[in-house]
Amino acid sequence: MRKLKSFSGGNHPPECKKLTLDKALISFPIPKKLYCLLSQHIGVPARAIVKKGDYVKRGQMIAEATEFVSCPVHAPTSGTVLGIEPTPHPSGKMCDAIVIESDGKDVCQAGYGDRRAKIQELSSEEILKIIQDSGIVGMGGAAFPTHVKFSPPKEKKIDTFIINASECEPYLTCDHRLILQYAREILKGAKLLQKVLDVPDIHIGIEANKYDAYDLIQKEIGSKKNIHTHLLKVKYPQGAEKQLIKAVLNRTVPAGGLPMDVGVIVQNVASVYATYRAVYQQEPLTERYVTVTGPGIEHPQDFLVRLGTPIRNLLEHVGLKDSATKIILGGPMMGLAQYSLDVPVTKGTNGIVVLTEPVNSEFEHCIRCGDCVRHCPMFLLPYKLSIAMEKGRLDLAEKLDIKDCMECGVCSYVCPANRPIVHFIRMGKAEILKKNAEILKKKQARNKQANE
Amino acid sequence: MAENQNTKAEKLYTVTSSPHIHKKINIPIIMWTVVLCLLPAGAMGVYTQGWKALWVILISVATAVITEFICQKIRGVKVTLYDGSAVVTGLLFAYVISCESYWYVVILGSFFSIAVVKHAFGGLGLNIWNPALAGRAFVMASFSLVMTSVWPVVEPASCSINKPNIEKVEMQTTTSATPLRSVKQAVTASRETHDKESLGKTPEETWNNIKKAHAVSYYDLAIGTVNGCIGETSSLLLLLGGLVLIIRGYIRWQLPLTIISTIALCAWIFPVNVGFYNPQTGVQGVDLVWFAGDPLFHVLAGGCILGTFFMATDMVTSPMTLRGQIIFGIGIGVLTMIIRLYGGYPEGMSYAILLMNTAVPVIDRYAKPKVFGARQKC
Repeated sequence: MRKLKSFSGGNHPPECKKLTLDKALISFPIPKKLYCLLSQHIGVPARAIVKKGDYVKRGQMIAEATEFVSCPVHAPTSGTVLGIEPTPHPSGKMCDAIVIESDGKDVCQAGYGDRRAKIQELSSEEILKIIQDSGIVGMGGAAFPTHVKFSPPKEKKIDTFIINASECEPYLTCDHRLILQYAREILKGAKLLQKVLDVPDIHIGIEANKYDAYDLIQKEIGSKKNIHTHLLKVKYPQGAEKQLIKAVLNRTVPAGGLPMDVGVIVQNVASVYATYRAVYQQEPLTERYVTVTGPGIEHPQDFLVRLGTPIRNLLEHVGLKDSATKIILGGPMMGLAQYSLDVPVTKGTNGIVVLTEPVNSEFEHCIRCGDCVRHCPMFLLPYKLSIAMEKGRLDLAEKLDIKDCMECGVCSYVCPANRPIVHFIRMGKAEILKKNAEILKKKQARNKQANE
Repeated sequence: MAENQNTKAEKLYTVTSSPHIHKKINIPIIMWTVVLCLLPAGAMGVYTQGWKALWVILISVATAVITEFICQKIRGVKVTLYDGSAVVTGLLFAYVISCESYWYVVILGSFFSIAVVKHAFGGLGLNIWNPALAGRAFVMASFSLVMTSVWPVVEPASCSINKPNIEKVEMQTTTSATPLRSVKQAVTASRETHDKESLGKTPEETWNNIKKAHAVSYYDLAIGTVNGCIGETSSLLLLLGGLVLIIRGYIRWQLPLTIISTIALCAWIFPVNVGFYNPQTGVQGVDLVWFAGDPLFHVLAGGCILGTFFMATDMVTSPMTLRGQIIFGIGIGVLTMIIRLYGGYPEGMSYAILLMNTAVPVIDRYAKPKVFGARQKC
């Protein structure tokens, strides 16, 4: 067997993917009430354009993008708007959501279905416009608007497009199932994005634990020359952009830079599939694949879920055990723990993991074992960052490149002293943001004074 | 659903920062594994040196644990006796002293290790020096005569050693010195002796005579049937324990390898300063002999293996990065051989480790990994 590509650092937590791996994707029944959050993406929240009592059809835009870095929201099914209510957001805050009561008919808006216009004749600008209007975001968890990602500044020459199918988080299998079911469609979507970027090559990175998916994609590619698949070593965080680029192309994204600095754009495989649906079938992003799994679930399963479905419905359907202690949106390494079951599924929700382990938040002094340094994929000194923040030494933390941390969680995962290293780093980053905002404010105030 | 909420208060789930899963590892697991890995060598020490050794070990461990308890109570921090770190320190301290040590020396050293070296600096994770070794250094300085001259007589397992010229060169060695000590004493004696006839015609010859006279079979050194501190003699059992730690991932193989290869290399290269007397020309003098050392002897003798696998690799007092550990290892190796060959003590491992422990903050500062994607600094 040939050597698998990878990066330095990282770790291999128990995969636990077996729970849902062999089960085919099924559609989750549409719930009575759907909560469509206005902020399902990174950027400015969308603005609602429907009001209480309006009747909406599936796919109808119910909230519009206010700025370029923003994304519209579409009705996930047909029904009546009950109003705009504050709803728990996965981040833990409250956020406005459009509440839709389903009429059970699931009527689609006109224009749904196969696109009449020939796909081949669409220009790259037209494709990008469709992506923007369909509200497509990076569906691997971060939910960065795709149309923004695919409009790099002109001075950045993009020469490669990488599809991220590594799915390195433990427990999650929805991307894997998606490839097994829709490999051909994903490749068609990839072609569209390739056209948008105007790049010669597409690379697909898949972790070696998804060999069947790799095989299937290879079969679908057949003799096409410009699509390359890469089997990657099973290691967390293989799916992090910078690590993926390192593994696939052996290019190093500069510290503080973006993948476009080395001519690469990475997109999650689920978003590629969503692009296919948006362009070929004129369907905006109204549903996504979600893995509902974990030891606290009776019947783990991958579902096709309408956006806005409260996780309560999902968890009640699969059987939430009483022993559950933690409910996580996303994977267990980077996902967000939820206190309430009223949180709806958003565009970035790739999984719901329910854990039963008791929560232990006690931690000791760092015993300097060096495991965090050895495993850090960004080559930082996590132990020192955590100590610096514990002592409130923000200056020291900044000197130690705290900003380069991507919060993958490997350091906290391996720490024998159970130190919440990533949490300390997050605290530091938040404080830096606060500090910078204050500096900006002072500057503006000073300018104002000067002008007066 | 609303009624539901009224009748039964809804369970709120715990919210914590990610990651939400944790590797099955904690400090007690590491420390107790170290204890287990240390036990075989200690058992061998008790077997070869008698019940006295067991008493020393028990007194040391008990003192360490009690001192830890008292210190943590006084400092008002959580009492963490269950984590096993005090047991490791107590055990290691007993391993690096002679079984003939007086009971109060053992208590004093073990107390010093925990109270002064560990807790005065803030407890586990914050100490600068390896507690057990600093404790040893303390008793060595305070009770040096007792600590270095009284050794039990251990019957070598391999009795068929051929010892020619033994009467000729052996002058001041006591029958119960450690292998390293007896060689060192013979070398020193060759420089200062008035008995010209006992010297070789050339420095090389004197050195060869000394080596032959004080030859200890590698077999004895490996299994531990030689004189020495309680836990340091059985290189093979210590190596076994060290390998377990490496396989479990608690220590990295690079550090022990660096130390051992540096010691072997230095032992071979570094010159010994011996006296010689040439009856034909009547010249008596002292000269250096280069490239004539015995690497394997220096690796197996003394506290080399114990220090390499259980003390230099002590997580708290070793550098964090691999690069740092290699610098650290080379430093230990070179210092050990300098002290062994030219210093006042026959054994230099403990001082070498303590000195390099002091350098760890500096090493950590300069052996930092380069951040992913960071530009090369000019």
